[in-house]
Amino acid sequence: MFKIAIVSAAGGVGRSTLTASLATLLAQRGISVLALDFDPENLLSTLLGSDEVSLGGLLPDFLTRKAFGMSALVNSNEVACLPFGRSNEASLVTFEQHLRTEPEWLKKCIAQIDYPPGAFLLMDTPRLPSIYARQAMVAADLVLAVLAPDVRSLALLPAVEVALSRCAPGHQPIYVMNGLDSTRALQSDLLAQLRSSLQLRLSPHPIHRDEAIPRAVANQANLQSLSPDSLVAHDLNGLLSWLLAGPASSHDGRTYI
Amino acid sequence: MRHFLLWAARHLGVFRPDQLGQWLRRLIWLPNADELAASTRLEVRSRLDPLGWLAKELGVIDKRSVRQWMLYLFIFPPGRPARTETSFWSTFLALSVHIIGLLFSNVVWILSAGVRALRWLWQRLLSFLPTVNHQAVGRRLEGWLETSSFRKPWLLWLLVLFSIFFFWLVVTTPFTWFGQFLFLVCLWGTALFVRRIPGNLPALILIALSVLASCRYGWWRLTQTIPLDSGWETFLAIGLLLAEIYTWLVLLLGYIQTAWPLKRHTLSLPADVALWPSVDVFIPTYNEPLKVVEPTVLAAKGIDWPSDKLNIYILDDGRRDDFRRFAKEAGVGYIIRPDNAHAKAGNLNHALKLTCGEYVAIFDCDHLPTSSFLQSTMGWFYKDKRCAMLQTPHHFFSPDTFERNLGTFRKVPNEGALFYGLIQDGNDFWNATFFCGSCAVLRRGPLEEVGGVAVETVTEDAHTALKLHRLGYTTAYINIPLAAGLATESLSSHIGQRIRWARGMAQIFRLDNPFLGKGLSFFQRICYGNAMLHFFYGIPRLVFLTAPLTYLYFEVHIINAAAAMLALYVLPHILQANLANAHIQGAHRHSFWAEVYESVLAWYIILPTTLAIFNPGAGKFNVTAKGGLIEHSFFDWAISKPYIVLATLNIVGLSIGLGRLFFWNTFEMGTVLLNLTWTIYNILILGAAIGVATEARQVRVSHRVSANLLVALHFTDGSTKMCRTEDYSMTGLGLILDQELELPVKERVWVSLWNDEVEFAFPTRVIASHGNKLGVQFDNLSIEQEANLVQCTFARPDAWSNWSNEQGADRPLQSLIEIAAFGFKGYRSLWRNLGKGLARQRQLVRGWLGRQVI
Ligand SMILES: Nc1ncnc2c1ncn2[C@@H]1O[C@H](COP(=O)(O)OP(=O)(O)O)[C@@H](O)[C@H]1O
Ligand SMILES: [Mg+2]
Repeated sequence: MFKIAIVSAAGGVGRSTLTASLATLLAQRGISVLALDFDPENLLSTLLGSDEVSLGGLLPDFLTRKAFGMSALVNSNEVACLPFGRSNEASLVTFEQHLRTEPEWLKKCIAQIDYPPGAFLLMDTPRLPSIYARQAMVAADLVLAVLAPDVRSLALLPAVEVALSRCAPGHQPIYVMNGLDSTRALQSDLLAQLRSSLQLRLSPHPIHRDEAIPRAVANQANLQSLSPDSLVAHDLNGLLSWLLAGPASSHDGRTYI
Repeated sequence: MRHFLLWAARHLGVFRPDQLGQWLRRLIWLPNADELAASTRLEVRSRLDPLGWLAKELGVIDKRSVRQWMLYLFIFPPGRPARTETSFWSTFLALSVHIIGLLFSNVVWILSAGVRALRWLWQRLLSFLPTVNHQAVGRRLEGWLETSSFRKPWLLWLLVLFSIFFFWLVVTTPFTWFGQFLFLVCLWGTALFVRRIPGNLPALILIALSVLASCRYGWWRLTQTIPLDSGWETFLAIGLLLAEIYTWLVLLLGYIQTAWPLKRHTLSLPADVALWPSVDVFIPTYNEPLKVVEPTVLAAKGIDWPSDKLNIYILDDGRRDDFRRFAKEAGVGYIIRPDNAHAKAGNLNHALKLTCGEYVAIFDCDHLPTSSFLQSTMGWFYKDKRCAMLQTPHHFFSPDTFERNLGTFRKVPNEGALFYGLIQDGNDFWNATFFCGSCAVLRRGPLEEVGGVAVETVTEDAHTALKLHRLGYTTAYINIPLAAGLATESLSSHIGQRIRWARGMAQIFRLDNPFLGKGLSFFQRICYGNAMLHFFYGIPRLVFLTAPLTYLYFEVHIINAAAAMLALYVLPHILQANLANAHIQGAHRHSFWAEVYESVLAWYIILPTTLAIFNPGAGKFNVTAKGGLIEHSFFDWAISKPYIVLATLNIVGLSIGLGRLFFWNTFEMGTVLLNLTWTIYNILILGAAIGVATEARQVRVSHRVSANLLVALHFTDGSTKMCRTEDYSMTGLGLILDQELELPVKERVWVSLWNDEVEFAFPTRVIASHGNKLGVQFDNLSIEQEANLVQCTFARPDAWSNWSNEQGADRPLQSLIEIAAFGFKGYRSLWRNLGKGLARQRQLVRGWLGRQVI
């Protein structure tokens, strides 16, 4: 199983959106995929089409000492999703306490999951710095950092690198830009700047800002079938192909760039 | 009557009795069973007045007017709005033109039917023969030459001696008519076999066969066919003979020139960018509008090369302020000089003095380089330190006059295709690549050594290369279109350009004759010599266009031989030359097109070339205007005068010839037939030339290039759509969407294009929206945006690489039919415009008369 953690140092840049979209796209290409929501926000299952916010999930399972992954759901697109589950302050404190004492908890739990070879695991995380994101990065084969096309993302770039090198020394994240408005010269310039500094570690397929995304969420519909000829659908396809052909193709799962 | 008709119809299987054609067909072919069954249900609408019906169908208004019947039956296309007033003269002219047209199409039909029958016979014949694996033969042939026994010098010499002896024998031995016939058949059969073998060796064999046939014909012509009795006849005969000797010579030299096209590929540069040399890009301009020059400069700016080693200069001989401003804005150099001495050559030389890059790349102001231009070319300068010049093809993305007026754009190889597709590659093999003034890179050192660009002649480019070759420098040619531009937009400017080339070549021939002087290898002399001799085709072409007339008009026999014998000798010569050329040039020039291209120019280059030979200093340099627009279709009377005169002469000759065939010269039918065939061929070629003079309207100022590029549309509401381009230009895009989409005109839309992986968005407005097609126009692009646009479109490295994929292969017979059709269309257009011209004339006269009366 190839494990990807989707992280970012800034909030609201589209981590969850990207996780959900990539998971759907993978399933569409006939690749088994599990989307794991490791964010107390507990929104991923909604993005993947569940009607109400999931009550069950990995946190309740942990608290009730059930096996990891028991509450996974499968949507109509064949995407399996393990929600975070409903939480409250007290349960989060207990959980985070446990995570702090056992940095490889998530990694071990994932190792127990019996999944077909060639399957993908996508992990949504809260913004960095975060104990959840740390666990996910430790568990991941590949860390995909999402950047917004603004100066803030640029300034926070080192934060991502530092966080990752602390969890998995010697590893570097790969980057993807989300929410690009290419009609703005400033954003295109920023992209060019990032391209020249990150080079091959930046996906050549930035994801554009596109009304098709909120529209798909509002309609609880699959982006690819709702607006197949939208730019963002094209971008996501490009990103996935690039991932599969490059960063996510190495045999032992680890990328060395 | 009606019952009888119905009865007959049913029995014959005519189920639409109102169609005459079906009756005719049924009288000849029997219907099949189910058609007969269907005919039992037939019904007939009554046609009480067949004449009236016919008149209505044809559009004849006055049923009693014989003239109108003639007109509508034979001339006007059906369904044409009725015309009430036609003069007698126009009827007469129309009739004659039409009858000639009919004759043509009949002749063509008979010919093609004959050929079809022959082909069928041939196929039958072939099916008796054992099949041959041509691939294997090719391999064995080449393996054979590789064997070491062939490498021994004495053996080679022996072979050469033997070949010469054999050649001499074949060329000079007189045959009986039957012997000559066998010779024809043998040669032809061998050629048909050989041309299917892959590789370059068969080309050489075909050339050898062609040379053999042509030399034999030449020998026979020289020794047996010159009438020596009467002065007048001898004079004409020698004229024809000289013209033939000229074509024979050009044919032979051409074979040498293109025997082994080099087909150089690109070489990579050293990986260390620090080792790459500095390059100055010169863009000379004189009077072209900024709109034309701008994209070129922006494309040059985008060339992939270290930016500190790439300097771009606009060399403005027009000294215009808007150019200076643009150069500043675009961040490129701007060079002017006090005078315009020596035109483009002087302009370049002036800039050479002010700049210092190690290499100089030159682009005419309307040739947009692709971004890979330098990286694809500079490698050869690295490999070969003596290389002084590298040329790439001149590629045109707009149709030239021929292509536009005949409608052959991207279907038939254009006039330049032969030179850039084959001849330059052939020259390259002999290290004789010509410099063509644009889309080339020169090494500064050697260029300065020969005193800069040559100024003595009006074709400074070829002359410069000649000087470089004389100093022993090498040159290279890469046959990959790495830059593209606009073709000349009208016939008159095309002719103007060719006159300049012809004059310049004649000047070089006089001033710096490649056959004389030091420094050139034998084959370089031949390549240059042929290029120059080529431009003297004016007089020979005119001779061929009028030669049969001497017999048809005056009964002068300028070839003193029996018609059958002449046919037997000339046929192998023509046939083998055509077969060899179709094999060598087929992809770059379709059969018989050379005749059209040359006939259009022949008249016009006679004077300049002749003058230049006698007085090379006379005349001045004229600049080719480009980027223009032909607003209305029109017929260029001024230019087409020579073709009309020649065509009229030939048509009259044809009518006289018909008289000779049937009444006056029935005792020498062969001779008459031979001359008639020749005249008909001339009439066809001239018709095509007249067709070229019908200037088709040019709709757009900036030419649209069809291409299938990925595009994203960004709408104002934040949604997007992917689609593809149908065509692009500097001003807008034509787009095709997957689904229908209605957008209001003037709606703002942003359009993204990609250059490799980098996206650029451009503001546009919708100008047309129909179904799934969308037209958008760019909306006030900044210079930077324009530069990006050029990089995403015209300057893409692969922008021109698949250009000629849609071109059909050369099929000589089809080519002939095609040209015949163009010839016919040419006469039709001539006739139509004649009518218009006459009407205008008459109106003028009437107006004048009216004024007189008052
Ligand atoms: N490419 C996009 N185009 C348009 N809206 C987007 C895009 N990506 C994300 N969004 C919107 O941005 C908001 C934040 O996205 P989300 O995935 O929840 O971010 P995060 O998980 O990083 O906090 C959501 O409303 C989402 O619909
Ligand atoms: Mg989120």
